[in-house]
Amino acid sequence: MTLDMEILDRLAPTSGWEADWADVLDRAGEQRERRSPRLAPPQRRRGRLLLLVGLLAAGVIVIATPALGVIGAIRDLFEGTPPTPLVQQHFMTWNGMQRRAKHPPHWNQFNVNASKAHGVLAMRTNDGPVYLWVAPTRSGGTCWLLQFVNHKSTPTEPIGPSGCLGTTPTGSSVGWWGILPSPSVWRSGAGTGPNSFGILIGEAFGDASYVIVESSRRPMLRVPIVEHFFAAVVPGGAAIQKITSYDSHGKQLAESAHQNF
Amino acid sequence: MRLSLPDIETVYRRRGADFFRLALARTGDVETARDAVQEGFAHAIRGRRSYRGTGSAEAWIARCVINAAKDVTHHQQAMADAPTDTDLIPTGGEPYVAVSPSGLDAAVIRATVGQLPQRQRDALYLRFYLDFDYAAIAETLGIAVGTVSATLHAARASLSRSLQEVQT
Repeated sequence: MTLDMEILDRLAPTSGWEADWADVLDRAGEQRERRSPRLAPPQRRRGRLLLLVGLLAAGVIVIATPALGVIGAIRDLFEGTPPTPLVQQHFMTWNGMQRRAKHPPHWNQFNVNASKAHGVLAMRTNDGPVYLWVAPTRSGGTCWLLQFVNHKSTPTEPIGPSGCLGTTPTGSSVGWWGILPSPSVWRSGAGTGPNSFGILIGEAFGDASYVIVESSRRPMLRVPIVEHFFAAVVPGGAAIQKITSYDSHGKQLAESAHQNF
Repeated sequence: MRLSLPDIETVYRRRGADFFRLALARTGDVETARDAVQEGFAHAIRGRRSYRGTGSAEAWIARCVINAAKDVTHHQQAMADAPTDTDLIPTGGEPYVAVSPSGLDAAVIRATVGQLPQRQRDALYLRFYLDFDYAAIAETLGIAVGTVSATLHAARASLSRSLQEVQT
């Protein structure tokens, strides 16, 4: 198989196809009694959809895919339930900080339910995998944290930056953070530095299905949203110029303007 | 030659999955692609009396499916107009993007294929997914048979160049 054939083969796999001649007849306005008895009832498709929804709701659908996945196979499968003790412990530190009351009042909102932490996304970098974990807060918000697995640049810091939103916004909005690997630790903030890559992590609310990331290095990057979150590995030094969220029908919902990694 | 309902059903049952791949490649979404195939065949049923019998029935149905794919994605035009193609070019490191399983290939490969003009894409899809010969491709796309070879050649050359850029 040539490369272009392989690409086309991957572009449109046969999985997902389910013949339903009765539905065709219905759409065409033909008599339903012409339906072949061999056909499955329409409920079958709905059942499969419900199954998929159930799987999604049950936990964690996470895949890390290489950007050059045109050639490669899926290299990593991240199933985040249950979270590791380290991850749960980290989420619980938010509650500890809250109890010490050394932080602004709004931190009280971050009453994290660490037992419900689960993985959402996984990314593979040259330094190793990066997992995004999330856990709900008891006030309706969500906390997140990044875990770096076997990273040569951050050997002593397997758990990276984290953040919380005390409540889930009701409207459509999008926000994001830039995470940089520095020689010994991961940090969040601006600046380009000598990093070969950075991690973009953000949240998009409302009916957002995906975001379009515009950066200085390459103009467009489409990133799907899982449980309000999106994440991507971007080239080091890339200035994120705008992130726009869209619903599944392509309707623009919100945008977040210029920031730098 | 007339096209009967059983004829269309035969094509649907024998080639439905192939038409689905054509629609999926065109729309990028499983549900939309399935909808396009269903609508395309429904349209073929409704309009089967307009089939003149001068060409391939599959090519005629393929045109119906392609038109249906255009129609069902019409309301998603905003998404089509938006710069939705993923552009993942490694600079410095080897970047990866986290995607859900359903977006795995579409997120990366669509960017490469999406750079081709629509006619070139359709020609490739018809050739690869439906195994159409040049005559059937020409009939489906409404172009001269002699144009098909050049269209496919240009598509493959462009695809090859794009892939080289992605890999370097």
